[in-house]
Amino acid sequence: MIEIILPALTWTMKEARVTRWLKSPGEQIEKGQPLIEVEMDKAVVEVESPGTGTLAAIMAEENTVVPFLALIGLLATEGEDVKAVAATAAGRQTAFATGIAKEAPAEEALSAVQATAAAASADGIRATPLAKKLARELGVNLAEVTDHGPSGRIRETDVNAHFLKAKAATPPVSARPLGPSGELVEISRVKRLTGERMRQSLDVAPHFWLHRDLDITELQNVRARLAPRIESAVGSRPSLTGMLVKVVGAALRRHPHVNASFDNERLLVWSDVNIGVAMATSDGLIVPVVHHADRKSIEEITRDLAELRRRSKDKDFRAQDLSGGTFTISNLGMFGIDWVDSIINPPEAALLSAGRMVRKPVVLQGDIIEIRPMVHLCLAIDHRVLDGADGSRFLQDLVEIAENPVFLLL
Amino acid sequence: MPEMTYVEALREALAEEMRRDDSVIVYGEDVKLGYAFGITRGLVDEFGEERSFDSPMSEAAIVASAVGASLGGLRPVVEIQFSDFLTLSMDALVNQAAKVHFMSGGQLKAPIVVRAPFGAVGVFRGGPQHSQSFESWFMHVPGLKVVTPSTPADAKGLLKTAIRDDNPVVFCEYKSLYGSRGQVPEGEHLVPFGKAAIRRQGTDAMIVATAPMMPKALAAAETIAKDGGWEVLVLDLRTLAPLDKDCLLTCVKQTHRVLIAEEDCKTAGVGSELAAIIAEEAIEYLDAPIVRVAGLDAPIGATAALEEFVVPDEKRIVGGVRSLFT
Repeated sequence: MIEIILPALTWTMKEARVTRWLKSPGEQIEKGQPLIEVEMDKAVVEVESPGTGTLAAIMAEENTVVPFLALIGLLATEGEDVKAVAATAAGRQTAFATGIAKEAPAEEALSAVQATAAAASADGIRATPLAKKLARELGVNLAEVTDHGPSGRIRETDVNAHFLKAKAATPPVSARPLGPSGELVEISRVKRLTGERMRQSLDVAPHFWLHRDLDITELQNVRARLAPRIESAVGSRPSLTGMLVKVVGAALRRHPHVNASFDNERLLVWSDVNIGVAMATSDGLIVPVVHHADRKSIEEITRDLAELRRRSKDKDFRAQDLSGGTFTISNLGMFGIDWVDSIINPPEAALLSAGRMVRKPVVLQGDIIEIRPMVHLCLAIDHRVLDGADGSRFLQDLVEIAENPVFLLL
Repeated sequence: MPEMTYVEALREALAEEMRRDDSVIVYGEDVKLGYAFGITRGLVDEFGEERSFDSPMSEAAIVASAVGASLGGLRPVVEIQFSDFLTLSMDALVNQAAKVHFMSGGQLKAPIVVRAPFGAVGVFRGGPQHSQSFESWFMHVPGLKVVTPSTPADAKGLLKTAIRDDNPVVFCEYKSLYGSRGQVPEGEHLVPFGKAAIRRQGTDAMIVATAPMMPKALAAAETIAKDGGWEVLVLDLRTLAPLDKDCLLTCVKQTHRVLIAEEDCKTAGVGSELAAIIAEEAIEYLDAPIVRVAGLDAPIGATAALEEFVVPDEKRIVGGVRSLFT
């Protein structure tokens, strides 16, 4: 018997919603075949079967929210009695909730909350009497207050903090009495979540941005020379973005503290270099990840990026495609942008954005002026992880490798 | 302003009242010698043996005779050598002194003052039968007043008020405070019953401490101010019956976090009554459960280590205040 466990798909969340079982009990499945569709964060991803056999028991119904690493099903392997395996499921069944974990509606006006303030005294909410009194007076719904003291009780100070935070959120535009006419339009889930993520990122991480023009002459030369071989090997030509993935991977190997996250007073330095590449889709911005970019050749990176682009178009992502990133690259050159001060993709420490290629006059050694293809780079940095000097050194190294691709051989 | 010890302040109060009012008499075991703690020493020299004399060794007789004397028009101030021995006077106190005014339809009164040293004390090491505090027993009896001075000034002012009060008063003195020094106002210094004193201002939390815990409470408040930056109010109730409920509740409403510090055993002690009052009448002002730092529910042993184990110290108060913020 093989246990089907919901794998930890991302470290920024603790659970996901099982949306669809692709096989029914009694059906055969092979190891590696997609078995379950799971919705998390911004996309629906497939979880593969952990083994070959017959699906014996489904232990997490469709549309339930399951914590990562929970037992959600059982597979009977060859020779086992499927019914016997299914029978063991009953004793190991966990009750999963259908409610979604949390999607705090930041734009809800305070007045709408006052009506529910009376319900704040419902059982299950631990709050001091003073906190309850204050919540009533301020129209704060205690169920929405997430802060609390070490004892677990919501205190006066927690209610105050929540009230001030809510006050800072502006009321919905549609609530304003006078102004231009318009209509309410639904925003896609991806767009809404991206917006929330970006707001949090700016709130939490002190950003600063370093700028540098990159001469891509050598990078283009390498790209042109490799293109025919790579195209015949993997079916597509290497892109400038792909070249940047390779360069950044090498630079991160030399500067491991950039490949890190700020974790509550300490640095979490990642051992894997997984570079996310920002892609625009009809739903919004997503960031599929090239895993172990530092260990892959340009050929492999090109193949990976092509496959990720295809999956993006077909909305066919696997679980690990959208998770595990330690650094992000965003290339807005194709949209004709000179440069962009990007917002870091939390919980990463930095993000590199590139603008369009512009042929510019450049002054070289000996005061010779040449026209060179220049791309403007902007490195966004979380100051909790790196300071100006650290970031500058990283960017300098990165540019040095990019302008001297032979250093990739080191 | 003259400075004197708690003991000297009590003696001054007794002497001044005996001078002012002929009907005031002082007696008890070894009162002429001023045995044990010396408060009554010298009174016999000034006032003679008719007004300051030794009693037989019978606490029951001491208080019962005081009741009788008071019904006859005298104002006896009797001393019980250790609070623990008040157990022998309970009938005279509870069934006679506390009831006589009610049962006589207001015609009779028993203006007695029963003084006794309460509590544990570092140097003395009285052991289980000489260290107890049961102020709450007397708070529980309607008709008795319970007075607990924490400073020499209050000792003098409250004793004088007690002697002048027409009701039976249990006057709780504290062994641990007998040697404490303080400034005492000159002239006629009276402290009214039912008026608490805020010994230290603060808005972050409050400690309401019974008399023997006052020095520790104040020290704890200073420690907390230095470490945590919180300002803790320290309230001295002075009299437990009548209780200054208004002041207590006002302080609760101002600080939102209450710690009760008492030396007596926690269970059914003074703190339990105070906590109940606060919960009944000011619960919406509390930002944390009420914390009681009290003596353990155990006899106080006769060695330093055992006494220190049972009786709360400054550290336990500091820990208790910190928990108010969790």
